[in-house]
Amino acid sequence: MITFATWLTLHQSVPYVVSAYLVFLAVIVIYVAIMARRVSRGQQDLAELRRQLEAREATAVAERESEPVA
Amino acid sequence: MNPHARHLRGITLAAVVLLSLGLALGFLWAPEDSTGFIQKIFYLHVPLAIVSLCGFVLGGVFGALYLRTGDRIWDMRSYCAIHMALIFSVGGIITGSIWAKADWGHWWLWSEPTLVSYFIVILMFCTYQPLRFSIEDPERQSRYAAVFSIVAGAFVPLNFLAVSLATAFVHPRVLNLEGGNIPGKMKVAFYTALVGYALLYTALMKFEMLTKTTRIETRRMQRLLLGDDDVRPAGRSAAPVA
Repeated sequence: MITFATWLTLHQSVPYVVSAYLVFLAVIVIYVAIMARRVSRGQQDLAELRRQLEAREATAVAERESEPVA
Repeated sequence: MNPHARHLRGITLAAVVLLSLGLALGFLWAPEDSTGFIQKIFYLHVPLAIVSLCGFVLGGVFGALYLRTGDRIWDMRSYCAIHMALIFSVGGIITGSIWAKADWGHWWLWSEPTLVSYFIVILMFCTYQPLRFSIEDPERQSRYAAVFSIVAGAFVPLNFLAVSLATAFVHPRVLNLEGGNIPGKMKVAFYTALVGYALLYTALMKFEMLTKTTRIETRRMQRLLLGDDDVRPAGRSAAPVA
């Protein structure tokens, strides 16, 4: 049975193969990270919009209640 | 539920399973060829190149559908297909370069038609986003981008047909219309990886479309809530807008 070190020396091309797969992994990880950041920013914007909507509705209700009844 | 979120989890899961299976088959089951262990890059580089080229053609098909129907969803699909294909092609060209260095002793060979033609295709599609960005009117931007995607998409198979008619090759030919010349076990591992990368491409494209439609929906809500005058303009963008 060969050890990992022997296997590594047998295969001088291992660094090339590993770096090729790592490059692809890095490209995908960077892309997903950028997209995840955008999704998170979008969610923050949506939360802010919901907060503004609630505030506007609360103001409208308060104004309606304060109006004198004819 | 956003239509782009439909099946996203299933496709992502299937992509992960098939990519893992393809990796396992390629490394542990399929035999090595005369070049030795370096041949394992084949299960990454070739599927990436094939999927990216198919993505460019797909972008052209979506562009044609946009011109035919006028539905902006096709414009967004075309944009996302080309964007994802560009990302895959960058992966494809870098991994190919690493393979070339290990196998041929050069990072790049300008005398090799397959490499140069692939590079030309990538450069051509690199101009897609600047083209969109240079046109402010969204309607015109979509139409011009659709025309570009159709012409450039048609160029991809024509380009490779022309290259395949050339005689002097350094680049190996593993696939052809007769099914290629790779052994059975390698073929199984290769096609498993190819389907895995195609599914990964689909999942990432859907993810990008989901992100873009969420952004469009956010702006629509902003305009509804605050009124058009209170929402700052989106500004010039290469991405499709609502």
